[in-house]
Amino acid sequence: MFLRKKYFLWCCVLCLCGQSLGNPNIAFEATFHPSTIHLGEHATWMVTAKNVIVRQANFPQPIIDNLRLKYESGTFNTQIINGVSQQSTLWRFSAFPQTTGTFQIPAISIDIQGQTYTIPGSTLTVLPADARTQQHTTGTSTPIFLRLEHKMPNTWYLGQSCPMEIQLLIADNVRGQLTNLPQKNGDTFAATHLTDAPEKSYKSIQGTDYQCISWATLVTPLKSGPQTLSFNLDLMIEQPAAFNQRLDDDDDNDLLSFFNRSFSSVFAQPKAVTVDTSPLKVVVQSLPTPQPQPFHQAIGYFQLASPRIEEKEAIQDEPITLHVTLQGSGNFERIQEPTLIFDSGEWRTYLPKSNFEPSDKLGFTGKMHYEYLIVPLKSGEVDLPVVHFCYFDTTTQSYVHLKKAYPFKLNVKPPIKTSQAQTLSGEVKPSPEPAVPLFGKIVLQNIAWENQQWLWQRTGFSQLQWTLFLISLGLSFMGIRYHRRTYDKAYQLQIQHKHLYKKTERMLKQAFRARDVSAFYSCAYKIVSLTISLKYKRQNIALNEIDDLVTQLDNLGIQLPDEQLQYLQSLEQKYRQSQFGQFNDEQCPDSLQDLNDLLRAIK
Amino acid sequence: MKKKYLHMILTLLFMSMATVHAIDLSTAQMYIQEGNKCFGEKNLESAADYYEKALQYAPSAHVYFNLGNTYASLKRPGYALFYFLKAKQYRPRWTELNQTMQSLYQSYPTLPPLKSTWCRTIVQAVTLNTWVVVLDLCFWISIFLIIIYVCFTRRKIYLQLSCFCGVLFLCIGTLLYVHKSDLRMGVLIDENPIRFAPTESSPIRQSIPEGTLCEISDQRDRFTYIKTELAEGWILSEKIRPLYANSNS
Repeated sequence: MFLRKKYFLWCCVLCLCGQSLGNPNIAFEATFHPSTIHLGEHATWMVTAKNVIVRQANFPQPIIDNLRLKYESGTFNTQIINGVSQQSTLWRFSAFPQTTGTFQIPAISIDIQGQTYTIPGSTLTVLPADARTQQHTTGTSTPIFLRLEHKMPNTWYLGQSCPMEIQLLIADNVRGQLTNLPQKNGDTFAATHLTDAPEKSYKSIQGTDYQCISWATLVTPLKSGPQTLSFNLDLMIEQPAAFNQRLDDDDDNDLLSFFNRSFSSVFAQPKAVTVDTSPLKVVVQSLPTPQPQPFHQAIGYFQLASPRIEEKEAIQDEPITLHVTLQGSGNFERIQEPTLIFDSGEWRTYLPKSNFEPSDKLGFTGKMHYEYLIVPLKSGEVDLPVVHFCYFDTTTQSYVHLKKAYPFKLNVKPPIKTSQAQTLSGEVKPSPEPAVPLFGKIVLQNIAWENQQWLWQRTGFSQLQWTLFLISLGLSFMGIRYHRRTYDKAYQLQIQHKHLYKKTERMLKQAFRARDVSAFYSCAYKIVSLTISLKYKRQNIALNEIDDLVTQLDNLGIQLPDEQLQYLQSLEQKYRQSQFGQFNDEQCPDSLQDLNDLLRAIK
Repeated sequence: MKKKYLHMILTLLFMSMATVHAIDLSTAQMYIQEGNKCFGEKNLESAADYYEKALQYAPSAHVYFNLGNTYASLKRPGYALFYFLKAKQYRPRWTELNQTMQSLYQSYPTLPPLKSTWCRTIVQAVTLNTWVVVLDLCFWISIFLIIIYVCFTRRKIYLQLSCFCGVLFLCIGTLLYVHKSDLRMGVLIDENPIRFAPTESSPIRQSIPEGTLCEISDQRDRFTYIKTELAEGWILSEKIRPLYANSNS
């Protein structure tokens, strides 16, 4: 079953491919949308290739004088309806005319899959811009226009905010859709609060009913001198002829229900238009000079309330909050906080926290609350800091200084000098300034350099320790040896034996080399005797020196082979003979092998 | 032959004892002169910079003292206290330094006072290096005397002296061991909050005033775990300076 499904799918895919490959009816269309625009607007030039997907990177873009074409996008579309696939490719260009007139894009040849096709020509008509504005001013014949409502001051100063309203008026028989918010032309003014929700109302102008959508904004000039203020708005409109009445199902609560109403006819062509306000020519003046110091950049009309505190008394070095309220109308967005005037020996202040409470939706009028953190630096009855605010009054066209002070003295208690209390409160208090500068004395000459700390981490230190360790180890060995030599009698005897043995061994070798029979056997006997006596001492057995060597060995429990035993007996016999001078023609042995074997066996 | 071995041993001994300072202190002196000049011109920030540059060459109690005074004049008591304590490490009984430290505490009463016990007073009476040398001498003298007594001569005076040095070694060792945490002490140079975890998003446990002495326990990324008498937790490493750091600064 699974295999069958798989084959079926593969067959479908192959059929589709075959159909797409075998469809030869490739056709091109090119149109401007809209075909007629006003100067300052732009149109879209759309080129469609039917029954083919063209993945050609370089589309042959035409060059027309005074018409700038900007490539926007290229899209591929495939539709399968009842097993029949239809493919198409669509290129979009934005057309920006520089002048009025009729622009003709000629037919263009394009090579696709080795064949040459022709893109048909298309025409764009551009009307003068004032034709539209003339229509706006005539009113009755203008379906849509934008205007600026304002109460502009007689003299507009740099930085002075002015509330304005941008109104979009649409004739009742026009349907359309907003595509953007109003945009300010140029950078000489700042317009704030534009993104806030617009309001909808109805107005009748020269007998024509209009819907009015209005945006309130606060406009502030940023440059002085003669300036022009205007706004524009992009929207899509549709104007069918038989649509003269407002639909009953419009929802007044829905702001854009009029505009958002779907286009009733699928055959109607929506039109992209940009509407502009009439340019407002103003002269922006700079503030009079010289400006007072400090000037808090406030322009308008302001009032300063008396500062207040919540505490009845304060503690030295403990902060209190001074509340200051500024109210009025003006550029609240740009003003600086009021200045506190105080004796630096009495108070320390910090930058305030501010909170604005607007009275209108633009924030042109309202109250600004400031909270200053102030710290009394001395105890007793003290005056609170005086609040100073300077603004430019646009009515009197002069600078106004406002000064307000807390009307009573504040009782400041002596400080609490426990640092623990301060830290336990969880907040670190700023350190008071030293009353007298005590730190002006420095060391100017004879600067001494010190050795680094962490001595034990230095290489020399560890080397010294190892050296001392080795010396102590050597000293210990030397001391132990010295001690044994001096105080240990057994050790002393052992050393004597050792010396005697070495001496006898040396004499034996001399006698062997000199072939002195008497000396040889005498030394050999002595060596064997010393070896046996050493063995006795090691086993702590009393040695009877009268016994012969064989008996001594028997006492030690040493069993020698017969040959070595005979050699030992002969050695003892020859030693006795040498003692008594009884050698006749006895000779030294040819090697010391037998003697060595005997000594090794005894050891 | 014996002379040759003796010569080798002595050479090795002296080489190990010798400390070679390949430091160009003339540059450091130049920085100090510039620092003094800036201090005289009340250009305190530059003076502090020059002093700190000089300290990169070798430590000096005098330069630490100057630096402490500079920061005290800049009204940064945390930094000032840190450098005064550094100076005290090298010259613990410098009268002028102790007087200046007292003045600092009088001028900035919010600086947490230094906790002192008789035990700590003894430890801080001399420099750390002095204690190490004394400890080392006691150990080796005790060892050599006992070797002499056991191996060479049985005079009781050697044994008594050895025992005395041994006891001294044990006492000093115990004293230093008890105060080994002092080697991990640091000074909070700027006020900063202690956090529960070594991240900036961690909630704050408590704020610690500048100049607080604390024990440094751990370090992770940009944070250091410190213990103070009031609280313990993580704090930004840049806000704390270890007193016994194994570096010049």
